[in-house]
Amino acid sequence: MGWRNIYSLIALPVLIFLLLMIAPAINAYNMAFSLDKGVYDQDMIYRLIGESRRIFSRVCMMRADEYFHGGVTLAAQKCKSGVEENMNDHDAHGHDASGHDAHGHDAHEHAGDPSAFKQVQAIRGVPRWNFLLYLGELINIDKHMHLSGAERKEMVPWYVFATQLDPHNIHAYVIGGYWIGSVLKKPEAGIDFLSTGLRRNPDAWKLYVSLGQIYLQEKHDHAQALRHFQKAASLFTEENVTRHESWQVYLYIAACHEWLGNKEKALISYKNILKYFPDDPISRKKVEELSR
Amino acid sequence: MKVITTLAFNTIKALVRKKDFYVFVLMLLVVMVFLSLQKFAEVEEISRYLKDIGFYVLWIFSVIIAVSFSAKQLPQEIKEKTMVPLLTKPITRMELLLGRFLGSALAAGLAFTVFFALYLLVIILRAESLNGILFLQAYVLGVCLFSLICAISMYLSLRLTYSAAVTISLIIYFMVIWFGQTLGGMILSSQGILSAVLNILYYLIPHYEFYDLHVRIVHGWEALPLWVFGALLLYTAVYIAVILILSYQQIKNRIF
Amino acid sequence: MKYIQLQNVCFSYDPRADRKTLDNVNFSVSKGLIYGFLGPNGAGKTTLLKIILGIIPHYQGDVRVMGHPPSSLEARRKVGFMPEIANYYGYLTPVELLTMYGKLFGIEPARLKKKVTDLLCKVGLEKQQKVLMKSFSKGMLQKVSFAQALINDPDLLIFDEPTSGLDPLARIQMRSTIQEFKDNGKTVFFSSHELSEIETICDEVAIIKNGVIVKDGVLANLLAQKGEGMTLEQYFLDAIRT
Repeated sequence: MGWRNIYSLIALPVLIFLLLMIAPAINAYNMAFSLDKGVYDQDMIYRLIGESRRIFSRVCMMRADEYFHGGVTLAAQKCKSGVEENMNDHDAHGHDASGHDAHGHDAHEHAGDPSAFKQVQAIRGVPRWNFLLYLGELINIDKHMHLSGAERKEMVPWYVFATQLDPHNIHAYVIGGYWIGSVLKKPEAGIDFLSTGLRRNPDAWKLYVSLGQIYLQEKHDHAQALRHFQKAASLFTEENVTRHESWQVYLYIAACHEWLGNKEKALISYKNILKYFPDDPISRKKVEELSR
Repeated sequence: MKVITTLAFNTIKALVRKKDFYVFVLMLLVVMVFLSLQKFAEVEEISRYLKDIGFYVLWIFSVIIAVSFSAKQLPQEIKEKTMVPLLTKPITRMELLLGRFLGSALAAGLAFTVFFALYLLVIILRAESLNGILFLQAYVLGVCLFSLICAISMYLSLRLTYSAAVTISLIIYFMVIWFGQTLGGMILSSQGILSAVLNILYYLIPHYEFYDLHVRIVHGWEALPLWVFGALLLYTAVYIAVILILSYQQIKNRIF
Repeated sequence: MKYIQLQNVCFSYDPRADRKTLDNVNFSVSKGLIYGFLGPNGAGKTTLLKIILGIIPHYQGDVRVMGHPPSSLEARRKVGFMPEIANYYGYLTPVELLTMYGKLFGIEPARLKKKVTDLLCKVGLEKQQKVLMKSFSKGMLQKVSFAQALINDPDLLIFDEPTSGLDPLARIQMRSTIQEFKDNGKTVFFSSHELSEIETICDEVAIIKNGVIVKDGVLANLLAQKGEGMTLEQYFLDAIRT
């Protein structure tokens, strides 16, 4: 092998490696520069793949969900969603303030679907004479499981990738921020992650809520938490928030006032909630307590 | 047998002496090293994404090499007229076919072995634990998969042009990988003539998805039961034999 | 003994065509002769060669090569063939190519190694033994082609345009080599457009036109039939015009 070939063998990978390292750095600079000018969609990835970045970002989110379920695909999971025991499984992981479960699934997604249940039974009843189909079912992994403990960190890269591919994927920031900041107990990292999302999406109230939750639950910084919840509420419009979501945020604000010792402000907050949500038992109870 | 192995070992030299293979090795190395240096929000010791993406990249590279290399063998021989002096030697057309197939399969297997070794090295350097039996199964099934791909690509190259053979081979690969399981589900939920037709289709297509153990490797699932592994090897042997017989029908009376 | 025997051989690439590629071809080549085969372009020379070599497996009539069907392994073990277009695997060296072909003939490794070296020296490629053939010139590839035809020490040598692409010195060397084969008891059958070459070294010839053998026999006798001083060129022109 001549010197030229050896040189090519060394130079080529070094060049590719440098490009891979330098490109994100250039892109980050470009992104920061663009953001200052209010132009968000001119980064390297957008130039390469355009709007299809959103599809790839969603694929990363699906990947994260697959990782949570041990690599089992979404399709196989949906087949399992009709099985009752798995409903209890999801409940055991807890729900966040928005009513989503630990990995962002809405509660409705786990409602039993008779046709899905039937399909589960059908798959389990693959006849052995249909040998190839039977073999395929044996090879295919369809057990339902969730990552637990330290294993849950394995999902983080996909949330990061999702946000890098589509900086406007609020859902990725919210879920990723929850996992990093709250579940994996890295509040500073979670705050950084969500703050990056805010720089790219300054009007995303959900990111303020997520930040508030981290300050509240992990750093026990009620003042900062209150600031973020109030900022979130200030960004509500008729189109971008549901009644339920706004109720949760107002509850947080009221609770923060209470924890900060501002009972009068807390009482006013709870009373305001009752104005718009007269059936709210939590606010009613709090008003009674604070009025004594 | 000696004739077949002679042809096969000379075929491997074509892979080793061409630059394509080394480019893929370098690209895989760069991708693995780049991924392993990534940091994600101060969370340490994350490895599944590396195993996942690394395995996917090495798999795709191996598929590309298997398809492009095997689809080129016989058409290139015919086009460049190297077939003629070969056929004047004391070898039968079946031996020629088997020799070229075995050479392609060995070449694809060699490429896969190098990629797999590189992948394992990076995983081990990250101090990840390995399920030895699972990795061995993944390796053996990978070799089987690429042999199957070589057989099918070679058959298609005898019926179509080189470019068409490569394109169709890759289309078949991705369609089966993406929709193979879905087809199984459709069979279970269908009845009557539709079920029969779908079953025939299910048995005709090469089930590439059976050989992909990356979910088990990445997410730490158990290895395949031994009899399932054995059944897959048998399936591979039977399918390849059928394809080679069909290929032989294409060349046994062909005038070169 | 007849080394090559063709009886009523007919073949057509397209069965529906009006004219057959080969039509009732009959001739034979005896042992120890140099047999020339000539004809205009498109006459069917290469097709006939492919039938004799067993590359075309199906045809009408009977063909025997040293008593065996041409596609049989017994026949091919004793035949050496040098094609007109010398294309070999660019990713191999001459040593590797000849070694591969030698192994196909079942030659033992020790003997094969020596034979390969000797052959490459004989054709003048001793310095390029381990150079990849993708960098070879046409002339060098012809030499490789010649060497591979001799790897199994064949009793019957079949050449298709053996001097095509060779410089004058190489042509002369090729002619003397072919004569040497005859002196060593081998039989040579070759097709060529070089009438002077055929006239110089061939014992017998056959002339083919439009798939039909128009003349065949001992060269000297054929020329003598047309009168004294007849050249092969004149005889050939006469044969294909009638």
